[in-house]
Amino acid sequence: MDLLSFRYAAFVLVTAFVFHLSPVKVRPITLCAASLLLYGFYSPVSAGVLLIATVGVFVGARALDTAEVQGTRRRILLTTVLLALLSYLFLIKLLPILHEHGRALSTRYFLVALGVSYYTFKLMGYAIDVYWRKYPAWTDPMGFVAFATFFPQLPAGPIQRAYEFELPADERTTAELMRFGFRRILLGIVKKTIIADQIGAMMAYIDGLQPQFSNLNWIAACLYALQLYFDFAALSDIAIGTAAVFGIRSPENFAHPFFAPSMTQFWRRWHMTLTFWLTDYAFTPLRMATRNLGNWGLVLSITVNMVLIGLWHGLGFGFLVFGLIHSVYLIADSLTGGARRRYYRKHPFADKFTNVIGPFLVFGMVAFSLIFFRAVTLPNTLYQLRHIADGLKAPLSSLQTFYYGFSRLRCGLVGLATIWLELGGYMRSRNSKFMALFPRFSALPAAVRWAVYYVAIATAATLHQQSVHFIYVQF
Amino acid sequence: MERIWLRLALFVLPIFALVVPPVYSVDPYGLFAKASVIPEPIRSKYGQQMNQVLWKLPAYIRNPAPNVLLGDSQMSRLPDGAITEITGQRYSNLAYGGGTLRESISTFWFASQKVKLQKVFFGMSFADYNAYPRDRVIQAEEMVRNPALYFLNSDVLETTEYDVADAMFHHHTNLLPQVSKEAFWASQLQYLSTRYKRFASPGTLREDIRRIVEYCSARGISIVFVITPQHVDAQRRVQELGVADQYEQFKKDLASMAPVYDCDIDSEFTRDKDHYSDPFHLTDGAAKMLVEDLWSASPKWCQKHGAR
Repeated sequence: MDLLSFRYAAFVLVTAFVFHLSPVKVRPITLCAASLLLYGFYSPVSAGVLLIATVGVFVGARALDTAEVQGTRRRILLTTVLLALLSYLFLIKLLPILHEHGRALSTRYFLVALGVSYYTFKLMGYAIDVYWRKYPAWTDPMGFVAFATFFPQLPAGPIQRAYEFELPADERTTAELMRFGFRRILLGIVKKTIIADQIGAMMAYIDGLQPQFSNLNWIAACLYALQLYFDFAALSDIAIGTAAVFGIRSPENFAHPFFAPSMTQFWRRWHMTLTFWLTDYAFTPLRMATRNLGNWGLVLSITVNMVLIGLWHGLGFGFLVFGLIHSVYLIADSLTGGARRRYYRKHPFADKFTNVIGPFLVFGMVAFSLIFFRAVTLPNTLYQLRHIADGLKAPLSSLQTFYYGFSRLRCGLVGLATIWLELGGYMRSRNSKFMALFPRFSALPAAVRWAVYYVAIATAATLHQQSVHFIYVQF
Repeated sequence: MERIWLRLALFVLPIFALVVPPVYSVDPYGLFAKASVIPEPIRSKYGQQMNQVLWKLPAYIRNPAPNVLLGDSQMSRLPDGAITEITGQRYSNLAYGGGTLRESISTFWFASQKVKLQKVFFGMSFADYNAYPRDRVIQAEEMVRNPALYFLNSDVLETTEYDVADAMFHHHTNLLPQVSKEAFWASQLQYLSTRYKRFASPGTLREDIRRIVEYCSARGISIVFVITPQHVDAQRRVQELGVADQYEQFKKDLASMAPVYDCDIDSEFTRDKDHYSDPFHLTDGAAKMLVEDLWSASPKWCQKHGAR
């Protein structure tokens, strides 16, 4: 079911209506039923697997929390739970590769990969937290199933921690969350249709001009970074907004990552729930275990962490290289961090300069790494790498070629929307004095806000192309 | 809480009020099979240019013909009325402007569910012999099943706007490129370099075509591939762009499955620029000439070869 479809919107509205009408005790059941129904729409078998995995983790966590299971038995139980979850995740990631080599049947209607990465990490995180005794195991099975199967977060997160998941408390908070939710969903739709999809069209245009216009390849690399961001941010907005319509708060996934002055900062702002999950359950334990190795321990921990991030997207060479490149970036950043801080203390101007130039450098580094992420085949990757600098000898000329060749109107629309949403949003978040001159959108009269909503919906409906799917749903 | 639902209903109400009545009364694609406030020639003009799939499928449901033409814009130029006149049998042209191979396959199965097919003329062009993912047929079928989707489709809304502007305010919207024939001719030949890049093996679609041929064979349905004629300027681009081997493979693939009428050859017909509005598309007159030739006892502008 397309997340931007009338059918999905109707499903969300009807489910939310029934959910809020239900007595409080029945709400978890309503949510479970809706989530499993939606997942079962794609694949009943996969919905069954999700339910079994959830029940298994619930029972396992309860056992971890009891006095009878201690020491080695606790470790074995946790290991069994984690291995079971990871095995299924690995199988799902492996199936497309096996199918490509004729070693597996098509699983189109049998098993689907939808959301497996996300709910697996949710469940694993919960089991590990109970094992670490961060909090006690859930005692309410329906509440737990509602958390694990929560449908707005299934396609592409955010990866919520169990202790953060709360069903709506009072009506006033719920009403505020619902209003926030509808606005957030609309924001996601605007980011997807007006920015991400239009950037996708720009890239298709550039692809079609190869090899004659290889000077545009660097523009395509930059555009892909933006497309990936806005596409995924849109998905997160819709997920967070939909959850809010049910009165449930979700964690944020992005904090304006392309304004980060360093790669370390970038990864604290990009796909935050995944980054923080891996930091808590992979990087930190590994770092603790290797602390006696000094800097080598740090190098190893960062490399393992980033390779996991790369491979989380898929078992492919491109994803592995993406992870390795970022590990190099982060290692360099970490190992030189101390020296740079000392230098900036003595040279404050350099610090300010870095804060201005840093985001551009970070963006360039991310865009470069995404060449491997995007190019599916090795020949394609090599072609991109060979020609990435062709247009950098005369960047203005290639920008002009693109701008006049594609569509000035669409370029203008994307530029305007990007500046308003992203730059404006970033400046607001930094309490910019300039932005303080303008009233907050939520403070505007209802008539003005509704007019903007109608224009946004009309523009999105006009630009929406049915055949363009969210990129991150495939992971 | 009730206030929020009420406000949501109030917010959505104008959208329904502004969209549903105009779309229903105009019905730009004839989904509701009722009289429209807009004359048929105007609806046809914009509907066919905006979304030929959505234009043709509801009409086919209302009046399914047992003999169909499938394919892309080149095939869509062939007038089914002329074929019906020549053969005395009812034909329906279900080829689409911008049609993909995937759409042709989906259309075959769609048509086969509506009527017992007798003859299928499966139009193919080298530029579209690939697994390009677009399939508007699925979307159109969903709209037929669930008319609520019709009111929120951007093509439907846009076409309604053009229909109303033309019929009520006499504002004609020109959806065709505003360039000279020569300039457009050159740009289309240049565009072939992009289209041929999409040439990859059609992958699993080759098996889907084979399944169609087997289905037809099992049920006594005559199926023939028609490789639509391009002007020789476009034919020359195959060599120039270094895809000659793939082009030959494309023809061999088809010939291995069913009879082929290969009209994409160097002939008096394809050498005449006056037969074409651009390197790929025939003019109305030329399309009629081709139909008369193809449905004659021995076509002189197309070579026949292939299975059976």
